Amino acid sequence: MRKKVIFACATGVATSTFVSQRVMQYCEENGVPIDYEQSNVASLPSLDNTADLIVATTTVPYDLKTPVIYGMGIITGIDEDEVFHEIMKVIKEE
Amino acid sequence: MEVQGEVYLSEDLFVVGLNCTSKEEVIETLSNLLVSKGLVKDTYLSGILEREQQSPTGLRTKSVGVAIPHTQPEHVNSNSFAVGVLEKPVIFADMLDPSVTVEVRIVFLLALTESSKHIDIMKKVMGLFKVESTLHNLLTLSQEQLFSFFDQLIKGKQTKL
Repeated sequence: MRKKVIFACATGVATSTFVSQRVMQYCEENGVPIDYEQSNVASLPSLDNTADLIVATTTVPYDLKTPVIYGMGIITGIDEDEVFHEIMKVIKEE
Repeated sequence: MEVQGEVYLSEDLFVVGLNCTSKEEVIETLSNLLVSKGLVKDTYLSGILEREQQSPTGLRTKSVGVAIPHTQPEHVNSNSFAVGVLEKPVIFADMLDPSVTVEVRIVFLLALTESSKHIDIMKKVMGLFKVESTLHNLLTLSQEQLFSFFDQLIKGKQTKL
């Protein structure tokens, strides 16, 4: 079954757009397409447990059950490979 | 005014050699350009400043610090952006950790509507930030060259600098 990822930033319009595009492309290229949703960070508590992973580009000040990975490296290129690797680990989990 | 894929750009939205001492001053200077063209609403500036306070937009890159102030689509009329290149860095707070300061030389003031059309702007503009040489080269351009680069970038005719 496809994994679902929520991409979250402060407004839910700018950085999460960029990061979601890059991650979806990466997952598809690696043969594991994902479902996704974009969100602002304030909506995350109400979306907890509705996805397998949250990729955030702003601090998530909530204690959530869904794992959170920070995706800033996908924008800045700093430790970008590590970020993708972490994401793939969750996506590929059985 | 250039209209390309629902993105409005014109040369006077690109400013080089800016002498500003605070992020507020840069943001207001660039915001006035967007307001004067009717690309954003009168509430845009306060929306930007409020959002910058709550969730800052400074980005620590590998080379030149950048910031991407933006706000909710309700303050925006058309997809557009203004770019300001600063003589000396101004301090923004970091997007991920607001307790960290970022010395910013290039400010991208984004005007984004709710429409899906801004996906393309985001992909092209934010795709530049991880290329160290591109950010360095942006600092050296004239206003005309800066506009020309982003115009070509948005049209898909140029991808790097």
